[in-house]
Amino acid sequence: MKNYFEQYLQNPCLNYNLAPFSKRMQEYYGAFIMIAIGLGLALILSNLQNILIRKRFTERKVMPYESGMDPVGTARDRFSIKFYLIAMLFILFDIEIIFMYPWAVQYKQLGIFGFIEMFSFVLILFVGYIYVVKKGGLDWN
Amino acid sequence: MLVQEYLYGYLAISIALFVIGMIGVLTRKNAIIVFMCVELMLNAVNLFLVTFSRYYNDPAGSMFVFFVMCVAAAEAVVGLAIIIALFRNKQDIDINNFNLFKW
Amino acid sequence: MQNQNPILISLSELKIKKIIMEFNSQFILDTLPALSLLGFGLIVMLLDAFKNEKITSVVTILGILISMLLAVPGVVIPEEIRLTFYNQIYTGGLAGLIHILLCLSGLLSVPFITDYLQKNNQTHLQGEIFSLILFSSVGMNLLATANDLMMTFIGLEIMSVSLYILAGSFKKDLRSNEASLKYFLLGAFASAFLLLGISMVYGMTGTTMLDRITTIDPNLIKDKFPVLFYPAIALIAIGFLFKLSAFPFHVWTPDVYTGAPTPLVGFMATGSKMASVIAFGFILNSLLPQSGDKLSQVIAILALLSMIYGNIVAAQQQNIKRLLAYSSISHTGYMLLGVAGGPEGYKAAIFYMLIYTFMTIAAFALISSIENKEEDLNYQNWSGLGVKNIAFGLIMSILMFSLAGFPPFAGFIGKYFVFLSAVKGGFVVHAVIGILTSVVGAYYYLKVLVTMFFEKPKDNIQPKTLKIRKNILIPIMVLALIIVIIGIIPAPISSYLDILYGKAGFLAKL
Repeated sequence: MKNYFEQYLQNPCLNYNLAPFSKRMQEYYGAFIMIAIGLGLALILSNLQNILIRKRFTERKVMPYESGMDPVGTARDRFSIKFYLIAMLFILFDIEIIFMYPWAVQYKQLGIFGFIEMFSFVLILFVGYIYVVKKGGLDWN
Repeated sequence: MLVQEYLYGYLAISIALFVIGMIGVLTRKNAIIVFMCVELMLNAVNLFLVTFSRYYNDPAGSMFVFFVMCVAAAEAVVGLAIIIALFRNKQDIDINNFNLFKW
Repeated sequence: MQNQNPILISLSELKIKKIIMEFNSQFILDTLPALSLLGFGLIVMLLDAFKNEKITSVVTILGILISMLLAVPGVVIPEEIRLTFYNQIYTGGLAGLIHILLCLSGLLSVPFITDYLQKNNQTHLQGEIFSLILFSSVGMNLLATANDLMMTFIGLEIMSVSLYILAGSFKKDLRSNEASLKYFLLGAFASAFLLLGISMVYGMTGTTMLDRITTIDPNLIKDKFPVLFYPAIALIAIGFLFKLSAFPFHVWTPDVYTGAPTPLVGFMATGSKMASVIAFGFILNSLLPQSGDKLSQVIAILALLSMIYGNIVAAQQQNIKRLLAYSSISHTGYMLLGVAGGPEGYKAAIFYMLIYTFMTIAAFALISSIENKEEDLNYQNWSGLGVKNIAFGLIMSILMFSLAGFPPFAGFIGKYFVFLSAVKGGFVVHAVIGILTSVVGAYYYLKVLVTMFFEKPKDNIQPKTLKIRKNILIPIMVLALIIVIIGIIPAPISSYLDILYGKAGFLAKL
């Protein structure tokens, strides 16, 4: 029996919601395994240090972590303009990922055509990246 | 498949969000908040599109949402850059104080 | 599926037909005009990144010319307009001509921008500005030839986001910043309305493809979602009327035109308007196939209000850029009257746009040539300028007479076709009032000329640079010559437009 999701992809007229619950769950197995591995890894790694490392508290170490900034003081403090620049560039390049999700899901069906299209898309982004680097958008100093 | 009765509920929510954003644009004075309200309007439209995409069982509407999100991000970047450029020169982002042009 | 909705059934039939996605030579040829613009935009960006911004203006002109040439074969041998790029955009015939016209506004403004940047010691901005102009042209092309409402929205946004940056390209200039912010906030606000309208159309019909929407019976849509039908069209109209700066949505125009760098205003005012008029007329005709619908009446009334408002307020302006901004509102009114007049008027609007492009780019270029400080823009200070600088005075009078619509200049021909089509389309009263408002328009255009020629020169407040630099004098003179030539012999262009228009069967059947 084929995965119901694959059938749905081949024939979009099938009503996906009418499939029995167990079949609809089939495609989530991968995600469940992923979540399990992720959770396990996170729990192990975060507790590993408690087991392995000798504890020595300094003032800096017990401070709450706030991305390297001093967490105490006025909240109205001004940030360097660099933060905004990097953040804006991050938004810009980050959001393009959403076009890769549908492509990745339909990768087999789209074949070489989809590959070339996505390649040219990434190429355009890459030109933008070169522009940013050359213009010094990522230089911190 | 969404039933038509439920459909109107979703549409009402998205229209309500859109109107909230619209009122925000018309009444707020801080340029960044005005801009955030515009983003809220775009996201209200996204909900509208997703609702109908579900109703017709048609992926085109969901695809449209991706494009809208991407355009909204580009707009956000350009808008913030413009606001920062203005702030550097004027030290103020209250839109009531932008009155260089008179007739 | 137990749903008996005929829209849904027709849609599911369409979906079973699988679209085969693969490359072929036709596909590449059809999309090449737009793609080459994009490619050259990227090249200009890279040139700028690697510190070669001096040659960017040449590369930009080359890129636009190549892109225009690629569209020429489909236009010279008049071919039928057809769909391409998976039914997303139109190509060939009329669409090719539209592409060429849109490229024209970018091409014509490049030399003036180069010169203006040199004059203001801002040559380091060349790369950014030219790549944005190329990207903006891509957006205009997609907007004007789109068949899918999704493509319309993306094209509109590519165009406008580039224009927001262009308006604020002088980063240190507060006026430029302010113009940019106003344009951005109001533009984003309007495009949200447009987007809601598009999503409502999608909700009613289940598709965003305009050629499919035309095949669905409008009464069916009205029965299914009676609440959405008129709001959807009204919201789309608001979005476009904003971009066109028609009367109730014009507030941004004077401020943006005054604050933005002068030759860039020429580009902003012509290209974006032309693309929006074409797209608006096309979408309107697709959504409302029955002629004599209420909406075209509404559009005609808004056109009328734009003409009256634009002309009356322009008459009170001192600043020449502000005057041209208000006059552009009235010109929008003439174009909209064409759009409201059905397919025949749509053609007249395209022709009017072509002439308006030449006039406006030349006018803003001419103003930028003598502009050094803000007071230079006040035309009261130009007394005696026409006598002192004959070339300036002569070209300015050609432009002003043409904008006012005097024969034998091109502006007259454009207005003549628009009013003719309006009368044919049953808008007789509108046409008469339109002609009356253009008489009001003549008053303030001529006032500028009277100040320039018949008033005593006041030396202390006159603009310092009176000489037009040679590298922009020749392009401006060519533009003025084109305006005169079109005014005297319009027949070749208009009959050619007729041929292409006849081949564009998609509009004829509407």
